[in-house]
Amino acid sequence: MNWRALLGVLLLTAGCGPETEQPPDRPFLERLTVGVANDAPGFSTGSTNLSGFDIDLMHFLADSLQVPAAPTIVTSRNRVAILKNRSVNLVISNFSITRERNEQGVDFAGPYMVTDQALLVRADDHRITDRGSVRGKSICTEDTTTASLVDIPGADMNTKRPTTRDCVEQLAAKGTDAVFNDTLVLYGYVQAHPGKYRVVLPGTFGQLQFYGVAILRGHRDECRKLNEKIKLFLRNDWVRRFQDQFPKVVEEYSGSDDSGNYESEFKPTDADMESLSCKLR
Amino acid sequence: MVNSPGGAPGRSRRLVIGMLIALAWTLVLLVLVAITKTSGLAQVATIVATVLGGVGALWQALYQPRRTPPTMSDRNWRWVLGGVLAMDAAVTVVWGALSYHSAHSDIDVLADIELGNNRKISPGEVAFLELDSVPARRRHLTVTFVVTDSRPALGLCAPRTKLKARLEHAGNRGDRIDVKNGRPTSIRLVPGLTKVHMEIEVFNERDKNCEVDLNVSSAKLTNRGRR
Repeated sequence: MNWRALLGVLLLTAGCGPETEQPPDRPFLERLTVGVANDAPGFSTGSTNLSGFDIDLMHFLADSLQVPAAPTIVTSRNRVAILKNRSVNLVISNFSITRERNEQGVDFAGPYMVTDQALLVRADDHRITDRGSVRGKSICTEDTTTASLVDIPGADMNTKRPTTRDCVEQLAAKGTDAVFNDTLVLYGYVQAHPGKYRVVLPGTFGQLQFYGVAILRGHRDECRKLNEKIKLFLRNDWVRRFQDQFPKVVEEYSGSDDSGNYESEFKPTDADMESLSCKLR
Repeated sequence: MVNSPGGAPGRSRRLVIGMLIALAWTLVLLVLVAITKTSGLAQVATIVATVLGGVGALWQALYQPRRTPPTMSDRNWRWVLGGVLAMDAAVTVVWGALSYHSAHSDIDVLADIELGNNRKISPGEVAFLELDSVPARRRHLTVTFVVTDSRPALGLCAPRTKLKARLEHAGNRGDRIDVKNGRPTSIRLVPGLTKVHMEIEVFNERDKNCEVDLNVSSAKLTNRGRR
């Protein structure tokens, strides 16, 4: 076969053979692989059968997007890394929206929850009553969380543990005077151990935390899509799910005293959604 | 100096009157340049044109009429006079336009702005903005404030922080004006103000612990109000 014949055969093969279709890019949210905690009472606990507010939200998103969802256990230490190495495509794990996390390439849909920060003390310990009474007290925080970065004036903040559960165990063993974290996270422990702990001084130290659904930078459309679903969730399901998962908070924040109503305290507003969600391009 | 209306050896009466007008006009322009605060192109253009016009008019009005016989006919002198008057007219128009523009254009004062107490400000606290000298009279100071989180790892404060600014002048405080983060805000300046002192109060309805940093990304003195 001379070269012309060979070229002809090649052209024929390329142009007239059976078309090999390039598979289209699979949609990013075709299947939700969601990083969740398993040691955050109220938000997500359990081993095989996870339950909590974050799990309710995960199922709501999956149902409304009509895609399957599979949870993967993450910790506060590894959730950014797991999201970035694409082992999961979302993280719903009482994950606070911060500019620093945005700068790490993590975008957030939502927020779906707002909480201030507080101290957890043993139920029979009444030493911490106001800002000044924290002086000289040992306070445990979970490292790699926003709470661990707060400096409470006069308190000993050197006790840092890998998980809040470790801090709570240390509190039970009287190895620390208090645990500092997000108020709702602490109420989860109050509910999980009735009569053992109390939440004190909410909002006195630290800043408001806005929990969002974390998604990797570069998925702005998907982030906005999730945002629309979260808005639906806030409108239709949020109150019922909150009442289910945080009955103690509903009781404490009934609106009958200065503590305010749980909905006005912990439910994000439309303005929060406008200003905090899907900021990365 | 004026010998006959016809021309040589002197100039016609009308020509001399024209020369005097051109000379007076030129002198007026020079005086205006001297007493008016102009700068840049307006000043250069005016000085060059008036000096040229002035020299021409002086030479024509004082020196040339003494010479006998005249080196140029009246007809040519009229052309020269016309040229000088045209130049004076052009300078008047251009100088006027440039002066108007210079008196109304925006003046960038960002480099002269000084901020005080603008780091780690909590809700309820006040930051200060100072402009030690107002270089020219303008009706507004238009400032763009930028709010950022003091501790970006801790939480989000900037998006929900609100600012209110008010001018303080001779011990009197002006009305509080809402300021939007990253958007220009105009503050009306009191006439005759030589320096600006402004208070910027920080608000956060939901979080009294939220600390922010305050900066200014643009600051202009302007006659155009903007909200």
